[in-house]
Amino acid sequence: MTDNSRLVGQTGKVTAEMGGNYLIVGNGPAGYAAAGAIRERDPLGEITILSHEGTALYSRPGLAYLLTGAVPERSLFARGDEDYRRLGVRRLAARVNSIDPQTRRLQLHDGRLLGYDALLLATGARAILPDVPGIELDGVVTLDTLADARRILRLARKGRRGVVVGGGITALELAEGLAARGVETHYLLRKDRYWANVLDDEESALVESRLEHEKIRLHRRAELVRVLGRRGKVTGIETTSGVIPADILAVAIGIAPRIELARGCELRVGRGIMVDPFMQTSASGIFAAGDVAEVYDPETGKTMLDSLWWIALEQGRSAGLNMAGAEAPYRRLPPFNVTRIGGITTTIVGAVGQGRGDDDLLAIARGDSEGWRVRPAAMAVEAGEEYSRMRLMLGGQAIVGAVIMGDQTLSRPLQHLISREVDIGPVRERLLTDPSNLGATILAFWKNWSARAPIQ
Amino acid sequence: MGRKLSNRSELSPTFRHGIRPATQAGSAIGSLDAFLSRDSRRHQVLATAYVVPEAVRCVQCGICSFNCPLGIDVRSHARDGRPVTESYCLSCGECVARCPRGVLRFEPSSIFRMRQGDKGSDPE
Repeated sequence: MTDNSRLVGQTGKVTAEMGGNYLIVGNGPAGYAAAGAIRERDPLGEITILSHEGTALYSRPGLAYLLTGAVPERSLFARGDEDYRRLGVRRLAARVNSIDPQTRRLQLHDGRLLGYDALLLATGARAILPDVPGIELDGVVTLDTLADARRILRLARKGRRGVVVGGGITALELAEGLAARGVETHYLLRKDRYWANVLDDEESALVESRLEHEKIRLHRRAELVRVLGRRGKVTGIETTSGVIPADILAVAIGIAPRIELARGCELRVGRGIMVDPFMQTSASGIFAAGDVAEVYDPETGKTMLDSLWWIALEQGRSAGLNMAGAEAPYRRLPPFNVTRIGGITTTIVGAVGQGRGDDDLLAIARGDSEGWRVRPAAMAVEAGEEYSRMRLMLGGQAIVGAVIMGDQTLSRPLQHLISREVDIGPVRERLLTDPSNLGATILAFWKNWSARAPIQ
Repeated sequence: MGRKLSNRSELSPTFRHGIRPATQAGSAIGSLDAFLSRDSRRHQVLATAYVVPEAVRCVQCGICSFNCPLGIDVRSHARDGRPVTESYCLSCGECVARCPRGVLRFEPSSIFRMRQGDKGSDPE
């Protein structure tokens, strides 16, 4: 039995001596970063990365750009075979059936048994499908893997009309990808506006206007009812406001951590795999990192899921060090992402939530964080023009969150000020009383601060 | 250096604007204008700035490396947060302009001092 009673506070005690045997399940950024960190501490250890894809590390966020045609497939591979050789990491294409934490062995799909001293579960997350009739039809797609992206591109070559349901960043990546490939694209919103629990009214309106500009047709107050098909293929989408004939239904209603393996061996799980500050699960010697890990956030006192590349790298690195015997606690920084939504470069950092539920997402999407949904005890101040907007969440002492759309001059300054919880006392009053000079005030304050404090 | 150049010259998109997807390049005239204005801007920048990445923003999508006309592996710089100090970097701004995540920026050359401290142009 595993000890579920005391998660937080367990130490990252030595789990493997030098020359240990390390298994990593998952070939995403968390898994790769862990391998690198293990190698730093244990030059002799045997490190194996298992994944069902069996490929080198590629950029999952980059799949959006593969869809639009901004980058070819081979460019998405962030590491090559040479990198793995140099790190001394073996890659194995395999599925894991089960884990036995007692004997420290796992069983592969073909019955093979592999032993370990330390095991990392970096299995990521998968897209959730809505429970509606017809969802199994050919032509229903999600965007988790390179194989999914290839499938979407194949369908888009023949498809004439696509419907997108969901929210967050992934839904727009799917819509813009299909539109870029010449597919007439319809985007269903269950209520009135896009991403209503993270963006405010005006930010949503800005994105929606850009989507319409890109000839993506928005259907507000339109809910997916069923997928219509013939001979196993999608032929149309029935919504609460009528039927849209279509060949493709692209779904991005959220992702769910892949916790089946953890559950199967009775690790403590919530929405994801629960980990302590050292990224260790409730079973000694088994760690988790990346999208699959549910991590304690000291700021809010809650556990959180993130689906962000940089956070996965940091968690993987921390897990790897601890697997190789270090005591390297993971410190969760305010979630941060810069991406294009509706063609507008957008930085989202810290707590910016609107204190309401999301109509289009059942869970976070990719490139997303539960932390953004936290509604801070803060005042919102904003400034903007046609395609540039900025919203700051001002706490009592520090800026706790920001959304920066368009002009990104303040993206770095605000990222620094928020993640370091810089005391903005000297300018707080001015920010509140003179929002028209918001940008200039922040920039001047940041320059002054960074001249005194080391950056990065 | 030379090896990288010859290996990657096939990827050079500068000579392939014609087949870039319409969503990226806009009209041929538009892209030519854009290219020429970039070209004149580049001479200013060339003398005064170089490309600096910020690793925390990067998702390793590879658009920067794909678009470098000289085949510099900008992505590996972005991964490690190393400034692009390759002497043959043209400061053309393709990578800076195309990065969808604001990872790359030009830093004024006053920071060129850093070159003495960093690992130089040879990755790893």
